Amino acid sequence: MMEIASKPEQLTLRVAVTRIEQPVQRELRFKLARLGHVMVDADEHPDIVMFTDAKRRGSGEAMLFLRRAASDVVSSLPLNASVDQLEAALSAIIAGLIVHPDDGHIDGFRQLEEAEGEHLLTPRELEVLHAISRGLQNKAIARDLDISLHTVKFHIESVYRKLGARNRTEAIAIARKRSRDQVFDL
Amino acid sequence: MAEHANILEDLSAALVQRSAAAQNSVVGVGLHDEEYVTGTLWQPGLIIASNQALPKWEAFNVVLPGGSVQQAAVAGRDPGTNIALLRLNEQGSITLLKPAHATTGAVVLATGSDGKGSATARLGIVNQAGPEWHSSFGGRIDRRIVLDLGLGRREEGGPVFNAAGEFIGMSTFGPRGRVLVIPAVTIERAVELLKKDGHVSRGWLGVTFQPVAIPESLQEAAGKSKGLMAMSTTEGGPAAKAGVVAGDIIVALNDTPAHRYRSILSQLGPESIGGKATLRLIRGGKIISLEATIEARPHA
Repeated sequence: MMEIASKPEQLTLRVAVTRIEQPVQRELRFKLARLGHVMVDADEHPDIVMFTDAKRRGSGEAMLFLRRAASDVVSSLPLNASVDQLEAALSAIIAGLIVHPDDGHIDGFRQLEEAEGEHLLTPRELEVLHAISRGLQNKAIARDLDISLHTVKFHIESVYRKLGARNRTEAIAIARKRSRDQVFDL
Repeated sequence: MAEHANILEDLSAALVQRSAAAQNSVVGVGLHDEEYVTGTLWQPGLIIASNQALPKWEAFNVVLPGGSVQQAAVAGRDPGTNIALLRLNEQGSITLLKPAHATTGAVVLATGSDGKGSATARLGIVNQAGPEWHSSFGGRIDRRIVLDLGLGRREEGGPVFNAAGEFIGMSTFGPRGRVLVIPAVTIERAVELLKKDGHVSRGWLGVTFQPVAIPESLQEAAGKSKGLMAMSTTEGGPAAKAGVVAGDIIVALNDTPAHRYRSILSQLGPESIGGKATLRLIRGGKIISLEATIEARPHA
């Protein structure tokens, strides 16, 4: 193994990646290795879980989402983040902080992007998602929107399917990025 | 071997020559402290720069080719095409830029200002020369030109040349540092309007939209499966005055299907201002019509 310069107290993190395409995964594995971290499977007690908005289409830039395995709070980075940015983000996340890229840097003269071929959410599904992002549980959502618990679950399943999310935090993160890309004032 | 060496020398010599020539077309536009961005000398006494790179000041100190400093007043700004027009006190003589179209794969030289009166240079190729596109501010850009080269923050707004030394457009940053070019033809159109009015007028409804799927029960009545939902309306704006509220899904504008941004934008040209717009909307499961008077988009 090659020696890499590192702080003596450096922590080796176990990072699980899910739903990330092979070439991207290889690149991430390489970046993580350079930082002295290891990639593990989701059931091998990871410290950090990473995923992407896999079903994304259109020309919006891809994002990498990260969370502590023990937490529901999702951080995000551009998928092409540098090794330095990745290390800074991992340190911050392990320290219990939330990381998001500086929108001032992300922005730039940008395109009015149409939602082509995406699985768009219905207004009701957006309401349910909004309730989820406020931290409401299903019962409270049902009460809030005056619909049955069964209907709430039905909507949530549909939201997951359309966004390609597996849980609430992933759905919120992916939807947040979508609305940043697709909401315009005309 | 000797022949190959000559090709490289020739290439290098040509690039040196072009970079030196570019010096006459770039200016440094002074910002806070010692910072600056690049501007392009477009016509005698007129400079174009990247609108997004400039603070909202009324005038800037400009370092001209050779290093002399002059003040330039802002003559107009258009967020839609990302072009700012600055006017110098004295016209001076300039090198006229010869406009040309970009071609995918073509070699380009992107030039900037060094802030002291000389040029900086970047070599790359046209990564993409695609069709026209609309910016998030509603401006129409004639070609989608993306470059494969790295540009410094201070070089934004400089001229981009093709191998023949012709001007394909002004460099600017897209999302996440991607280098875009505002095509020469788009600049020509915007500058004429900026010279005349100081801004480029566009129609505006005052609605923040989000694309949504139309619920199945309403798809037949709406005649389509997706639409644009009003997330909010600007208080006192055209849509708010017409009675549009958050949650309304727009189906048609003046009998033209309006489920895509482009179809709405196409009806919000400068000539639309002051005209009536009939909005067909889905509200509470029913289709309703509202009439709005299109206003000019407020200057950002």
